[in-house]
Parts: sequence; structure tokens; C-alpha cells
Amino acid sequence: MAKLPLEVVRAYIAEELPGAQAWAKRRGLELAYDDEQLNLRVPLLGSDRNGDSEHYLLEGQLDDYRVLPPVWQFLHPDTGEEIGSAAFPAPPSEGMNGVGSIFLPNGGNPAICARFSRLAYTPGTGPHPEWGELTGWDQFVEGQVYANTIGDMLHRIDLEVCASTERMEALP
Amino acid sequence: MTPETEAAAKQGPKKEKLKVEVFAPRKRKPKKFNWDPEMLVGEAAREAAEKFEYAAGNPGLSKHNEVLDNNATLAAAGVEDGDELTLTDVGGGV
Repeated sequence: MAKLPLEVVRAYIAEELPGAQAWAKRRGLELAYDDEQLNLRVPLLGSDRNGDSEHYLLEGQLDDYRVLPPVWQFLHPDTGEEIGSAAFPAPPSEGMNGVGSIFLPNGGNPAICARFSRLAYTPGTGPHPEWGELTGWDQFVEGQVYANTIGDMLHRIDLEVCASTERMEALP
Repeated sequence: MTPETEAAAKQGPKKEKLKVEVFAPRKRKPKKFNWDPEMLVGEAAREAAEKFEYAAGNPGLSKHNEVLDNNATLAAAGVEDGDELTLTDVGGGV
């Protein structure tokens, strides 16, 4: 059951979307937002290896935003299907100047492991069910990645995709 | 040589400020900064975060999609006059 009326969610998104779209334009990325489904998708590119980069498709499902964080996940870059680990970039092998990765293989239940990622809290499959109430997702915790707008989340995820050299698993 | 020019000569050539534009992923427009090349990346990032009114976080900067080392000077991190940088949270995954 929805926690927030759709018009409230749409108002939050409308406030943040221009910044996120400007970020995407600067990056040369095609951010698609479906206002009916409260869903955004953006194709991302992994690190260039010998002129060949892995393609990724990031999806953010925004129902109940901002009471709850988005459901961020990676989908098959060509079909848009959920395919689990093969859709996810592996954590950057060379790191990012000492910044810890947010891409967690999690025993076949991959997740973006950050407080701004709803799937990180999922009991049973998420890596951090102990975080408890999702409604505290936008509180700052010292040392942990902090992104509390759509643009900031996209930027952080994209930075790490850019530094990743391979997928968690080969595409089916 | 006057005392003033002698003092200036001892300090070596004066380093020009770096004029950079910083973007925040949540905002459409950048802000301009004039930073000393010897300023630490982390200090510059904190100043930018404040200007963009970020209330909390672990501010850092990225250039061409690479995270800069917060403990390096802007010059050592490769920041050059005219660069475009992006405000980036450098907190870790958990």
C-alpha cells in the first residue's frame, strides 16, 4: 500500500528532476523518465577496456519517494529484463582513490549498498535489514556515502560504473 | 633590489589562482571559484558544498568522472585553470 499520494511523490520528483536531467546532459547520457510509472532509466557505460566498454541500464523506481528511497537496480542493457548479477557492474578493482564500493555481489542477490537504495534494506535478500526503518534513509551517517537527491544518487552510481572494468557475471 | 622585491624573489614566482566551475548533480547551474593551487581538494570540496547548501555529507570533487584525492592539493590532483569539476560524495559503501 502506498505511503504517499501520487501527487506528493510527483511534486518531489518534479523538484529534483531538472537537476538530474542537467547532470545527465552534461554527461551525455539519455535519462528517460516515465511520470505515469514513476520510473527512470539511464544507460551507463563501464570503464573503457581496449576500446570496449560494458553497457549497463540503471533503473530507479520512485514510488513513495521521498518517504522511501528509490529502488535502484540494473537491468539487461538490451532487453530491460531483470537478470540479477549479470546486469550489475563489479566493484571497481582499482578502487576510486580509497572510496569504498557501493556495488555488492551479496551472494547472488546484488544490491547497491547504500542508504539511498531501498533494496539494501530488504529482509532476507538485502545486505542490511538491520538498518531498520527505511524512513530514516536520508539521515547522514559519518563516513557512509550520502546522496539524498536523485541527481546526487545518479552521479555517485555513475562514477562507480565508470570505474568498473567488468560485470559481476557474463550476460546470458 | 628593494626589500620588497628581495622578499618577493625569496618567495619565488607567485602562483596564480585557479578559476574553476563546479557543478552539483542536484543543480542545473555551476558556481565559479578561484582557488589557490596549493589548497587541498577536501577543503575546496567543503567550500563548494557549503556554497551549494549541502547540509551534510562527505564532500569531494571529481574531474572527468574520476574521484580526486581529498588529501592532495588541487595542483597535485591535476586541477587546472578553467576546469569543470563535480561535487561528489566520497563516503564509502557499507
